[in-house]
Amino acid sequence: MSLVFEHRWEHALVASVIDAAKKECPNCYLGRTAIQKLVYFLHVLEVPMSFKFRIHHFGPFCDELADTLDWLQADGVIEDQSSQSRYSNFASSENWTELEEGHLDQLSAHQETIESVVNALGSMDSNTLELIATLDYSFRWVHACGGNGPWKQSAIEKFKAIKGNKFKDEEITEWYDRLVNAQLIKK
Amino acid sequence: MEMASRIFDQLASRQGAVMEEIFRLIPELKEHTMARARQVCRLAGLLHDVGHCCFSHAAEKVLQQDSDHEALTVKVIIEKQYLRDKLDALFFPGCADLTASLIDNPVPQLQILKDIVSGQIDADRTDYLLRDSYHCGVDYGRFDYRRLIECLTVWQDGNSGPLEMAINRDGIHNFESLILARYQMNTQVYYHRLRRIYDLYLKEFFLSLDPSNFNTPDKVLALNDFRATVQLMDAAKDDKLPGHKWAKRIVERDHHRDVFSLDERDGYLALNKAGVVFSKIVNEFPDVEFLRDFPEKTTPIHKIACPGDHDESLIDFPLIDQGKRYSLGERSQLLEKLPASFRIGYIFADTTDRDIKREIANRCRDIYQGS
Repeated sequence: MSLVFEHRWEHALVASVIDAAKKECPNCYLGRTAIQKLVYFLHVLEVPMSFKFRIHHFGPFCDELADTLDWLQADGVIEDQSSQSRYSNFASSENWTELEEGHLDQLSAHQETIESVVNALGSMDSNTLELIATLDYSFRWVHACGGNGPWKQSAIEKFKAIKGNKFKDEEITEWYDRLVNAQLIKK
Repeated sequence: MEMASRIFDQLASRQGAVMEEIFRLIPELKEHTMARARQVCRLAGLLHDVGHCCFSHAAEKVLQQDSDHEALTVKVIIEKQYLRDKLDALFFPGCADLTASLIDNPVPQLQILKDIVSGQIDADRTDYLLRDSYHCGVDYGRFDYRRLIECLTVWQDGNSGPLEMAINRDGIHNFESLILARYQMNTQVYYHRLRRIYDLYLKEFFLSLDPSNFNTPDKVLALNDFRATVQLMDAAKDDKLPGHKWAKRIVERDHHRDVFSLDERDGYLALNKAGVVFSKIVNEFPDVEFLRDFPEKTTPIHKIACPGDHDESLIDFPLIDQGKRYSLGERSQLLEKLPASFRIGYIFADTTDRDIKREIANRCRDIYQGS
């Protein structure tokens, strides 16, 4: 079976993230939320894409990316291996190689970034990904409001305004510091 | 522009002081804060689609391959050779950048102005649903927009949270009529089979033209509806001109017939099966030309989360009752029953023979059910 539908760079990028994440952690569940957050961090690291993220219940979210997962499934590029209807567990499927071949140059140009994000985040559960992606988003939100920092307190306040009491203070602070150490956000 | 002004004025009449306090944090809005914020909102309403190429979405994927109409809109507003200097000189310094930010990526303090231009209850949809309904001569798409706007207000969590557009309890049913209007216009007009097939012809027509005719923003802007229509009429008459086949079909109203369609509730699995149907039917009827129209993106009807929704793409829209915040999705009976989004797809066959059309349609259905 070969590809039936039209595909763009963003489709190859998302399928490549799924393929890399499954290779990094074959037994980890790779659901819709996790994919949203992995691609969000690629966006933060300036991998070119037309996806635009907005804040939703589970952190940064892009509608177009959600549609892309359906489109890739419909064309046999990825498949949902989950046996539960409420949760997904995506992996690359038989048509991935054909899509990959059509975008080899662009994919190899960003391979290092894709691998570094997947290595760092690929084995995390969706709750942790939600926490760190929303922390990152909160920092960018308060940073965009202007001023000279420090940002930590106001970013965590913004985070709590979005998430309420879903996460403990200690884990929020710990992950904020880790993101600072990874030079993704500032103190 | 008029709708954006009406919505801005309504929100300002409810929470003008709070809006002013927050907008004043933006350096360009330090003076004449509300007048300037209103101006920027009106300009964003007026200019938000200025980057659309001819025939808007039909030609967008062809003429603006590496970009989209939003990117061109921002370019037209912020670049010197287009509107930047004019906007800054006519209104106030920084006006062009602020206007563009409402279309692209506003600073958080101005998010509510972006929501007026494009959000859940925005000036654009309010305007185009009513306008399209009128021009198509249908009764779908109509709702009491004046009452809806009267029921809008502003909500702020605590004293420091962002400003959000919200609706008063009295506006629930007006909001529902807007959503119904959107649902009906999309399913009955925008995704009608005839409208879709002629969109496909337009896309094929533009694909057949020399791409160097629209490889710069200036050329895309120059190819307006009038010039494109002249090209199309010429191509329809002359079989040596590129795109003749598609132009002739449009001009002579000679269209393919639909032989298969996806149901609006179908998900990606149906899309997969429809792909199989198309591959097989093309081989089984080699003398008939087939076209397919399977949209990549679903069309959103609303984004309001209802109780029990686990869809990550849905959001809470604030509903204000006696000064307290609730979720609109919890209160609306109708939203729970309507799909949040839909996708309709078609396979078209070039035949006017009813028997052949029926035979193909039956075969499509058999393949679909058996796949």
